Amino acid sequence: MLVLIERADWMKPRIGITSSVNKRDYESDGRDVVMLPWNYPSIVEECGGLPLILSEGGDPEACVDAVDALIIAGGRDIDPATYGRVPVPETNDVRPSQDMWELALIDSAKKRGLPILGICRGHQLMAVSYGGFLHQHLPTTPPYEKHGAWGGKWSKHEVSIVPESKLSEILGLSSNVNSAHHQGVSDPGSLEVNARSEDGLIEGLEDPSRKFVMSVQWHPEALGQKSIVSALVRAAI
Amino acid sequence: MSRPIIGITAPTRMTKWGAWDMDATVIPATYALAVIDGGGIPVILPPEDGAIDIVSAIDGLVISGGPDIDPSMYGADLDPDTLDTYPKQDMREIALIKASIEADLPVLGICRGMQIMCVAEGGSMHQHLPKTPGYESHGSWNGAFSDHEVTFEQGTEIHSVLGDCVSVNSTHHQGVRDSGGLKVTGRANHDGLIESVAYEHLKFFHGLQWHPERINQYQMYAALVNAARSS
Repeated sequence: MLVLIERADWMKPRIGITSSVNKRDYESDGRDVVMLPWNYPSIVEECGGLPLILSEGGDPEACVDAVDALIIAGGRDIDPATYGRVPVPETNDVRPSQDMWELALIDSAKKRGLPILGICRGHQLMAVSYGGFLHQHLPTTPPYEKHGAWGGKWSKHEVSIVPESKLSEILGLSSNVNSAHHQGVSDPGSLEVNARSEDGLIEGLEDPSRKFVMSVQWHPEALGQKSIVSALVRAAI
Repeated sequence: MSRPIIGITAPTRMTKWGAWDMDATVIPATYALAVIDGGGIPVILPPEDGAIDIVSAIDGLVISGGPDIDPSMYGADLDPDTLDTYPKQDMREIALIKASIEADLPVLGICRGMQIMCVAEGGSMHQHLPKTPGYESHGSWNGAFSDHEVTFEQGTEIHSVLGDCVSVNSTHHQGVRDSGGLKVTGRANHDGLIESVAYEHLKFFHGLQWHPERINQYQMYAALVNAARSS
């Protein structure tokens, strides 16, 4: 027991967080940068984890070997080809190389039994990874036209959490969450739905056969909702 | 270990992308690509970690380029030509460098990264080369690049990797005045400015004033990954 406590004291669990490659006017020109909103590493650190930002192109098996848990972060739209659909006009800024890399990370993490938390785009990718499908543009998809803000804006809404789900052990039976997305999960594949918004949209997913494989459509890192991230860090120890 | 984990330091800055504008940890993608090309796995290090924790989680380290170092780090007064400084970033990187030396973790410092290696080990800086006698025409800065040649000292590790002389890119207005405890291994042909430094008693500890990752000059990245692989 003493040994376990000592390890927890000076070997923090390493939490890998996926990043995105974007164009940004950095230093001198609009070249590619690897980036991640700062609140992801910040909340991981507040919750006792060591944040390590994974960069697209790094060998997925080796990336997963280097960490104790994985966060698939928010970001751009997913290429509909990954779930066998053609893009609608509102689907934009896709980057198939990032989709393939993150799907391979999820596969490797699943194989090794690593805890996984998907956030926003990460939630949608988890659904795709488990055989699911997406709504490509909620503002034109009945009955989700008024789901919430997107395109750099935020709104808030309630989610109802399924009793006895793993998520309910962390958050209880409801939560007031933020919303900043125009796509959503239409079919969770073989994952179980653990949360829905008032309009019925799938807001959370989990794999009940795993210790911690979970995803949420909202952004706990922007909400300061430490309970979810702390649960991931605990599962990683 | 076939693919060592190479940490790359990164700052957090207000960042605009797509429809968003918020604090983000951000680094040019060329660093990560150079590490991948060399056979390593790039891991970006956000600026809030503990140095000891990081050093035990990675096999090698790149200290990336970035802003001017606060002159208080090397005991000098602030020159009006020194641009925005980030003392917290300076202190964090100095702690990382000290912890890496202690653990004999392979380190490659790039541009500001080389400068802060020297400062961490007791060195100091020219705060503005364009007004420093002897270096007025060193090269471009403020986002622009120029080219010049660097000659390496015979018998050094970097000489065995890059040979007698290479052409490099240049984009800096500060330069190393005193390398502290580090050995100077290369100088600019046209004005003699310190361009590369090393601790050769360590497994791999090199600093370069230029940006090899931006000109696909990957040899020193590959050498870092090789040293990390044998750690």
